[in-house]
Amino acid sequence: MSKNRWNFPDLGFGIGLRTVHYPTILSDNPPIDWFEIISENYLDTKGRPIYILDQIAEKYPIVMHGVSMSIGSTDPLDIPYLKKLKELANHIRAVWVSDHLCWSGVAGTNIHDLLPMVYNQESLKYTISRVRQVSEILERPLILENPSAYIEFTNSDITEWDFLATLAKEADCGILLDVNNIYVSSFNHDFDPKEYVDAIPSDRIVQYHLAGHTNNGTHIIDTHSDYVIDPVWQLYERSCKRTEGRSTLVEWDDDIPEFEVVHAEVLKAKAYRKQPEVIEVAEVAEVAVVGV
Amino acid sequence: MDTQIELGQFQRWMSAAIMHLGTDNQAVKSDEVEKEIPWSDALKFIKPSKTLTQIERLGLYRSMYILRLVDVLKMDFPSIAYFLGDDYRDFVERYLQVYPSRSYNLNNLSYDVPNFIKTAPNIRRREFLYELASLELMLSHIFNLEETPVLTKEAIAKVSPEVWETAKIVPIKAFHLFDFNHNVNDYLEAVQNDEKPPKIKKKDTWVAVYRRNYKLWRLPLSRDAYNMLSDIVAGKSLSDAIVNAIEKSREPQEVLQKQVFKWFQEWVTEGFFQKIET
Repeated sequence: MSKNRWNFPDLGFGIGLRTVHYPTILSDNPPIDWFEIISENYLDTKGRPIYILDQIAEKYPIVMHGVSMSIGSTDPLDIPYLKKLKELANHIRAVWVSDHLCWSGVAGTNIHDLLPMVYNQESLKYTISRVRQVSEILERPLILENPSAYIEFTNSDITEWDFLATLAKEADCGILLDVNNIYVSSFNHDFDPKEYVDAIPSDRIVQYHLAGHTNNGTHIIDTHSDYVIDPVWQLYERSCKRTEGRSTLVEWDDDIPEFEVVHAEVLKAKAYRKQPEVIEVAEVAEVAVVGV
Repeated sequence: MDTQIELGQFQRWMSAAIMHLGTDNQAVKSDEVEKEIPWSDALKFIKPSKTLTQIERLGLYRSMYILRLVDVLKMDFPSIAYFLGDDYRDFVERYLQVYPSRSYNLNNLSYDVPNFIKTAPNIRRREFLYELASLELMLSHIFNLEETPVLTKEAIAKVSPEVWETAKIVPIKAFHLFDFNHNVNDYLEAVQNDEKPPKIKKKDTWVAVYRRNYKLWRLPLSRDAYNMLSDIVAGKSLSDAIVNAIEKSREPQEVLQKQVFKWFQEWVTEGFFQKIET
């Protein structure tokens, strides 16, 4: 058992903040531990999105999760974007800021997908340097999530789990371990997901993601459109044995059911891990400030 | 080898292959994609899975790319999608060829849709569609603008009568006026209400688009009301705006004067203005 190396708090059991749930959250103040936002949805807006978020951030701890950092792209880092991320993080006192181990565009274009990286020494060295730069700009450690992938490359001579583990150590970044993504990629790439889970350094894991997916027989797509399946819960349980309580979140992005259904889904995780300590919003904000 | 060149070449190839129109086979064998990496070479660095070939695996990313952006643009342009029907996907594919996303923010993807409609070949009812797209784009834009305090009736009551002649009234930031040549507002209204849209026709129409309490609204205006309001928005004094409206109007002066009072009350109630500059 180990703490994460930055002493980021165990926020308990949260869900991704989605607009369809705004009315329930604002009117009922449901007893949920925390929310994760898609960072980009709250950048470049001074309208309703930020107005709602401000109200929710007053009551619940918020974590920022981005989809456009494109850490693996050969394009230069988008500095204005990173500065906006930092501003938003400070504004809502985000407990941490995460994105994905992927690239999402090149030559100035954005495909708005989490595209798979080549895993070799050259890309590792390159990504380490980029993660360090981002952490400096954000003035906090970057947390990176393992993506689902549907394609892999012959010039990858490092496994994804070894790449992620080495990157986390060398760039001093955290890991958002998406157990569903491990399952999805293991099906698509035919590897043992348990080997992946066991290889991730537990002190680097800051958060877990869980989600449902769509199994098309020949391949699985990470659709976030269903309940978490048992093999994914088992992987989660396996990882939790190595990490004391870590903030755990269910993502549901397609065919989103009512708030209570998504909340109930993440609460199933209680059965697989140690209970979190109760942490007040103010305490969490304090940790976020000193957590670098 | 230089990582930048190696990774860059690979990424440019994959990006071009995902964004290219046509079938998966046509895309990877197109000149634009093969200039990055010929398909015969690309085959060597993509692994097939137990169940999918290299091109089928790449095809998953290609199909997700277009589906995602078709959905995103439909959220901003529901009535354009309605109008185009089965042609909507083709419209989006053509749009993305000219205006691929260049922003981290998907909200910015819709920015050039009216421009595309104006200039792209083979657009049915181009003028109508351009106006409809402009209206829908403005709604998205106003959604994200800053909220400004609203001028209250109490604040208006405090303004001394002698000041009104030169007073200027400043609209809220989330406000825009449209002068259309087609019945686009009625069309959008029907689509939003899941009703059959009216027949498209040439018709001069005027609409105020605004946000009140973080909700979007549209208010149809008469020609006279539009003229007066557009003068106010342009920074003319209230008295000048009224005089101009009377001069331009086809209504008798006494009728229009009564209407001006009603309009102004309605505009204040709707929260069109933020302050009076004296």
